[in-house]
Order: sequence, then structure tokens, then C-alpha cells
Amino acid sequence: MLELTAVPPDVVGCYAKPAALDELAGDAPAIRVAPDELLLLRARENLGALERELARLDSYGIAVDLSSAFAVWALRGDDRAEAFCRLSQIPLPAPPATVQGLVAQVPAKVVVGPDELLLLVPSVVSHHLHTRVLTACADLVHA
Amino acid sequence: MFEFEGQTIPISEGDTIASALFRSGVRVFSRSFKYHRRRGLYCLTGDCPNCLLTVDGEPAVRACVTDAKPGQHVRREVGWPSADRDLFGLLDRMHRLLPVGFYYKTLLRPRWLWPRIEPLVRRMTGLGTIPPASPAASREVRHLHPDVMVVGGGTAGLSAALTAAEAGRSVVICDEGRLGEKVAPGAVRERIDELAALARASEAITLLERTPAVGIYEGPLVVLNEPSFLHLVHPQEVVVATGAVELHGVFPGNDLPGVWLGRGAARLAGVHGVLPGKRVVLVGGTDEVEAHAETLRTAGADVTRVDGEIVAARGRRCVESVVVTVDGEHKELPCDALVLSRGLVPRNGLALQASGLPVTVVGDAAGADEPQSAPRSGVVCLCEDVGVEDLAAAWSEGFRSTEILKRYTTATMGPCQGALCQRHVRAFVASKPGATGPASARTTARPPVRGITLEEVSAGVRDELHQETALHRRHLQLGATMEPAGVWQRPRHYGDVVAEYWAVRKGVSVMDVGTLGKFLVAGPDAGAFLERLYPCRVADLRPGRIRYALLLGEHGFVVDDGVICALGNGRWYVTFTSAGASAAEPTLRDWADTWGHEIHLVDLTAAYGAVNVAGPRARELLQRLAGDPIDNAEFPYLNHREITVAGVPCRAIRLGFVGELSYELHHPSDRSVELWDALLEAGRELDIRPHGLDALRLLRLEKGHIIVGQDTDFDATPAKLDMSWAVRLDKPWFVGKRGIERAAAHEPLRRLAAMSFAGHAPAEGSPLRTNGRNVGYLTSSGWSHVLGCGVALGWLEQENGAIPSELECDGTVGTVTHDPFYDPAGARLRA
Repeated sequence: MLELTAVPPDVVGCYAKPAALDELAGDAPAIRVAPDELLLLRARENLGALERELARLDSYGIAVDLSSAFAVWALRGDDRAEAFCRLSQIPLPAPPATVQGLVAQVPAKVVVGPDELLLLVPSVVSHHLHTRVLTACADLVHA
Repeated sequence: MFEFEGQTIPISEGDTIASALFRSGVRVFSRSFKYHRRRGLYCLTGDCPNCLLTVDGEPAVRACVTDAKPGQHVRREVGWPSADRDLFGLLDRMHRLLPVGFYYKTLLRPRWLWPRIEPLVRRMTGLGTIPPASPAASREVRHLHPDVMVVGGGTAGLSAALTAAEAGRSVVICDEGRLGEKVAPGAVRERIDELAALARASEAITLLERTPAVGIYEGPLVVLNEPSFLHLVHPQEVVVATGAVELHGVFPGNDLPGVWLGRGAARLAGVHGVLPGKRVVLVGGTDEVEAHAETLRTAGADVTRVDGEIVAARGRRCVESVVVTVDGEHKELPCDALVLSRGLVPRNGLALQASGLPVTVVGDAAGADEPQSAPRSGVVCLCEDVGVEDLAAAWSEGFRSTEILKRYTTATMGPCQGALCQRHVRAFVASKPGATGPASARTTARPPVRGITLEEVSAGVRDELHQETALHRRHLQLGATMEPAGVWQRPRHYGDVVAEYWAVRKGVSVMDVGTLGKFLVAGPDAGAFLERLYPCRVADLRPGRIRYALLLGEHGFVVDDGVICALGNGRWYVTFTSAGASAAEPTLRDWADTWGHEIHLVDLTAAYGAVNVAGPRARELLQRLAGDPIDNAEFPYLNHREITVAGVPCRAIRLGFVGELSYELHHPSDRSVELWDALLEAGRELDIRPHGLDALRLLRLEKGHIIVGQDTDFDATPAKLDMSWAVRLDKPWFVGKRGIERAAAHEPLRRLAAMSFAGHAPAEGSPLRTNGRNVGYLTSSGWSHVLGCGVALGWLEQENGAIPSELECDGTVGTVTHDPFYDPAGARLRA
């Protein structure tokens, strides 16, 4: 069984020296896209505080609300791993983990949780991911 | 039961299509590729081309490894009026007229002959016909990541899989049939069944039956063609255990129906309970001969074993006798089946593709590819109908290695990919005086080793990938006709291009320009970086100001354009064209890395939407929704401000691509719909209407503004575009400066020029002529409603520093102009 659900995106992009981002990340849910680029999840409300903290760690550091850049889809259910292997050649790591690469031919960040896979894709191709999941996993999709 | 050319064929348990047909008396399964010789079952391992049939409209299905299922519709592929009685069989008596490579050297004169003959040749030869109205593809891919991928489910493959599983590794094992099904009952079959039971019980092993491996690629990546999925397997290690194919016999009459390879005959008798013949002559001396003989006898055949050389198989429609030499003596033995068990050839096509990859070959597939004696007469390549005589003819014509013999004769290029015939072709070459070792080397092994349809190859890739802005649904609701513009879907118009045009020129209009590339550039070196990147000045740009900028390649050619907005605090907001957005990021990162600049580059293309509010009443509209001052004094042309419009925070940029007062509102794309709706609602009294690309192209053309990609060519320097004003050659360095300086040393051969036409607007792309000579072509053209003439941009040849002033084009006359057609002073932009 597979469930595909749209999740309200909440993503803040942080750009600074790697050491600053290491310190900033802490235990917050995050995706390290590059040494100087960190995507913090569920951090939109604290954007102001984040900007101040980042400025303290790196005077050139910036934090940008990127929530509108992403569409977030959750794959839930027992068949989520089966669905994922039909959509991407990325090996799925054991949770908790994050990976990035092509999913359904579009660039994606994947947050592997114990009960779900969160797929963050550019909002401009969100429709494509939705269609591909429903097509490729028609026999698995619950709703 | 299934249907076969009008007959009803019963199915027994475990039947393949081939075994069911043979049980029902079918002996001719196909006609040969070129000469239409009768072909019957031969290998029963999926290696030879003899049993390729059309099943449910799908051509070239290997009947010997395809399950028979009720309701199937099966037919043979070649033969007129039927494969049994094929009039084209006369071709078999015309070998002299159809020599190898005949199409290279016959039917060349008169020249009209070949185009007429070719369709007939294509109809008479080849395999099945691809149905033109196939249903849409529905296959998907699955990516698997086992530690070990084992190809082949015989004893060697199963043993390897179990060993790996016991060592704690995850394993995928595939076989093109069901495990053991090709093996007649006996000790080997029992061993396979035993190992298969262990494999099925192992949680570490994923077993894929009826799943041939198609190829091995870098990675390693192994492609498996399972009936319902195309599996792309990414293992750490590959084990190839594809076994061996029996040595194909080459002698006169070797392709008559009734000639069998030993394993095939034993499988038919032992697995399917069908005798290949009642009087069987079994020739060979392999370890398997005794087992084959026992299987055939048990099934009820009268078996004569011969350990000698075959001189010929004889028979009119099928084998009736075989002539053999035993101890130097010729014997003719009557029979209705000749079974060959003369040796094994490693089925190593997959392994040979995997040079340099972590691939281990085990079992018979790892056997030595031993040399053998050259064939003297008979069909070498069953797939392509190439005989020893054809090889000899090609050799005499100068094709003297396996590689070029292959290309000229097409031997080894058929469905079996040389599994049966390659060894004979090599032996033929090796036997020739003067042939060196490399001449008889193997031909290059390439995927696919098993046939695969285009639908299967394209599994999982069938949805068009395009990008949509957040306003996509709104455009559709407004009746927009969408068009692909690069990677985007954009509104071409909303039903009335002229009304959209006049809304911009006389009132107010909105356009979704969220497709523009949008980037934030920051970091300690951001200013220096942009100064080196762009040909215009950047450092002197005060916060709140913007500047139009060309982006040049290293040779000084224009690759994109956009604007630079100075934000202050070492931050810049830069835009690129919609088409150039995706290339912008790698380009900028490349330069930053090259120069060692420490910058942060944030792609905001998806994060920010953008709506251009344009027209003489644009300010009036925005003043209804924005609390911030936007009058000309507070917010002049070529400036940007942070303002709030209908509650949506926007970076408003005053530009003038369409030649009117314009505010480009960049905002979080998740609020695009809110902003768009508010603008249309507030503008209702102003007769607002959105405009699409058709209106935009005309509006900007009236201003003489270029579209990079449409009006530029691969070698368009700013000078050729009459845009040297956008380049500051007094800067010490910028990307493309040296190219521009080099180009400046020579008079350009052509230039982009603006021109107007009376009467009508010529079609875009039309040639431009003067004094009856072609001197250029149009890149953009349209009828200017406000000016009442055709306006265009086009490339013109330059001679002695000048371009023609008057032109003929598409039945009208044009005049070159040097100022923008519309509002040349730009007063409307600055209003």
C-alpha cells in the first residue's frame, strides 16, 4: 500500500562558510546540499533568528526562505520503498538519512524517515512528480 | 488453447508456444531471412532465430522460451502465401543472382530501379512487421541495488547466489526461463531443482525468472527485461553464469527442419514429452550424449548413436537421412531427426561486454573458447542466411577479417548476435592463408544480447517533462493557448492577440514572467565576481538601481541577457532570460570556481514568481493595491524597490521591454495566484487583460529589442547587434573582452538591423534581397498596429562598412532604420 500526500513546504536555505553551517545545523532536520549550502526544514518561523545567528557565525552568511521553491510530497505506506525504486536509481539508505539526486527525472532531495519518504522537488515540476508517481505506482497507490 | 493461423492449438502443462505447436504437428516455424529456406526448431534455448514468431501482434517472439497461454494469437512471420508453401522459396535456387552484398553492387543502373525494387526486397526479406498502431507504452523501470547480481540460474549461477547469500550479501539472480526448465530430467536437473529450492527459501536472494539480461554497462549496470518491468540493477559485483550454447553444426543441409541441437531435442522429449522424431540419429561425443540418448529412448525414440563426422543431411522438406563418415567410411542413415551434440561454446556475450567492470564469469560460460576446424559447406549464420560460400565470396572480394566480414555479410548481426555462428566465422578466417591472429579475433560484444523492443527500452520515460509557473492553472482558466517555450509551458495568447497588444499600448496589462532566471548573488567576492562576469559596470551600481546586462561567452558572443539589481550589503539580484535560466547556474559556478571567488549563489527561479504590469495605466493600477510610493520621483525608471502589492511582498523592478511604463513584480511564487487575482480584480475598471507571448514578441519588436536565441546567432557580438553601448571596454577585464577586441580588428561581415516594410510584414525567416541578390534573412517580423507598417529585425551582409538601406523581402520592400520604431526617445518608459 502506498499513500502520496502533499506536505506544506517549509524550507530555509542557509549559505555560509562550511564551519558556520556545521554549527548552525545542530540537530535540526536539515539537508546538506553542499559544503556551503544547508536546507533547514521546519525553520520558516524562525527565519529572523536564523539570520541573526548566521550573521554571528559568518558575516557574509545568508538565510533565505525557499519554501516556495519546493513542493514536498510524502510517500507513506509499506510500499514506499518499492515505489521509490521505480522512480529513482538512488539507493535508499536506512532512516534517518537524506539523499539527493534525480527522482522521476527531476532533481530532488529525499528525507528518509522511519515511516515516510519526503520528496522535495522544485515547485515548477511538482505536477510532473505527482503524475509520475501515480503512473509508475498505479498498482500500489492507496489514494 | 491458442490460435495459430486459423488452427486451434491445445496446450499441455508447462508448454512453450514452440512445444505446443510441435506437438500439434507444426514443423516449419519460419523461413530463412534471405533465401526463404524452411526452418524448424533447433536449439530450444532461445539462442537461434528459427522459432521467432509473431505473438499477439508482437513480432520476433522466441517461441521456445515463451509460455503458451490460452487466447494467444500466433502466426509465422515470413512466407507467401504461407510459411509451409512459400513461393519466395524459389529464391533458394537463385543464389547466383543474389550474392552476398548484392544490394551494394546490383540494381544500381538505371537509377530509378533501386527505389522501386527496395520496397519489394524489404517486404520479401527480414523478420516480422512492427504493428503501426501499437498501444501506448505502459512499462516502468525498477532500480535494484543488491550486493551481487547473478545472471543465469543454472547450477553455477545458483551456487554462486547461495554462496553470496551465506556470506551475508544481498543477491538478485535472473534467468531467461524458469529455473531448470530447459534441462531434461536427470542428475543435472535434480541438482538445479535442489539449489533452486534453497534459493527460493533464502531471504537474501531475489529471484527473477523469465527475465533475460540484455546488457552490462558501466557502473556496473545490468539491464534485465522482465515481462512487467525493465529492471536496472546497480550491484557491487556481477556474476555471469549464462552457461554454454551447443556447437552449431555447419554442413550441407544443416538448416533442414529435423536437425536439432542435443539439449533442445532432449528438452522437447524429456520436459514436454514430445519426440523430435521417431528415428533419431545422434551425432557427437560430448559428456552429455549418453544422457540425451537415454532421454530420447525413454520418450520412445529409436536412437542411433554415431561418433563420426557429418557429411550432409538430406531431405526435401525435412531431414530424411544423414550421411556420416565413421572410420573413413561413408554411411547414409535414414532418420527423421538428426541430433547434434558436438561440443559447447561459452555463452559469454554478456561477460565480454564487461571489460574493466567487477564481473566474474563462472560455470560453462567461463569455458575455453577453443579453436575448431573451418566449415566447408552449409549455413554458418542462421539468422542472416549466410553460408560458407558467402563468406568465401566476401573473402575473395577483399573482406579479410571477422570484423569486416561481419559488416559485409551481416553474419553474427542477427538475433543470436553470433552465439551460434561467430566461432565458425572465426574458424573460416583463421583457416585462410596469411590470416593473422587479429584478423580472426572476436567481433566486439555489445548490448543487447537478447532482443528488446523500443517500448521496453523506453520504460518509465514517457511523460513530457515541462515546467509550470504557479499561475499555470490561472492561464488555463483564462482560456490561454499554451506553448512550449524552452522547458516552460507559457501562454501564447488568451484568444485575442490584438486586444492584448492594445491593452499594453493604451491601458494596462499583466504578463506572467515567472519563467525568468532569478538569482541572489552574495558573499565576500560577489561584487568582484559580477564585475568580471558582465561587460557592463557593476561596482558603481547604487542600491536600488538596476542595469541591463549582456552575458557573453569567452569569445565575446552574446549568450544571454538580463538585469542586475544592487541590493546593498554585498548582495545582488540578477535575472536571466527564461531560456537561459537553467544554464545560468552552472555558468556562474564555473566562473566562480575558476576565479577562486567566494560567493553564495542562490537560485530563486522556482522560489520567486514574477508578474509584469505594463501599460500607461500601470501606475494607476498599482497605486490601488500598493501602499508604498511608486510615483516617478520616488521610484524612477531603471530602479527597483521593495513594495507590498495587495499584501504580497514584492521586489518591483522598473523596466521597459515592451516599451511602456512597466513594473516587474518579483514575489514568493506561493503567493503568485493571490497577487495575479488581485491585479486582475483591481484592474477590471481599467479594462485590464493579460497578454501572452505573441503580443510580447510584437511589442518588444516595435522597440527594436532583441530576444537572445531568436535574433542572435552563434557568433553575435554586441557590435554586430548594435549593442556596443552595453559593453565597457575601459574595464580591465570581463568575460569575452578579448574576443570582442579581436573581433573589433576586422570589419564584421554582417549585422543585425531593424527594418520596416510597407504593405505587410514578411514571414520570419524570409530571405532579404537587394539587386536580386540574397543579402540576409529576417529573425523577427510582425505587423505594427500602432505604426501601421511591418517591423522586423534581420541579419544583413555588410560591405565596405555599410549595409543595404533598401531591401526586397517576401513580395514587399523594406527600409533599414537606425532608431527604435516606437517611442525612440523612451519617454513612455520613463513616464
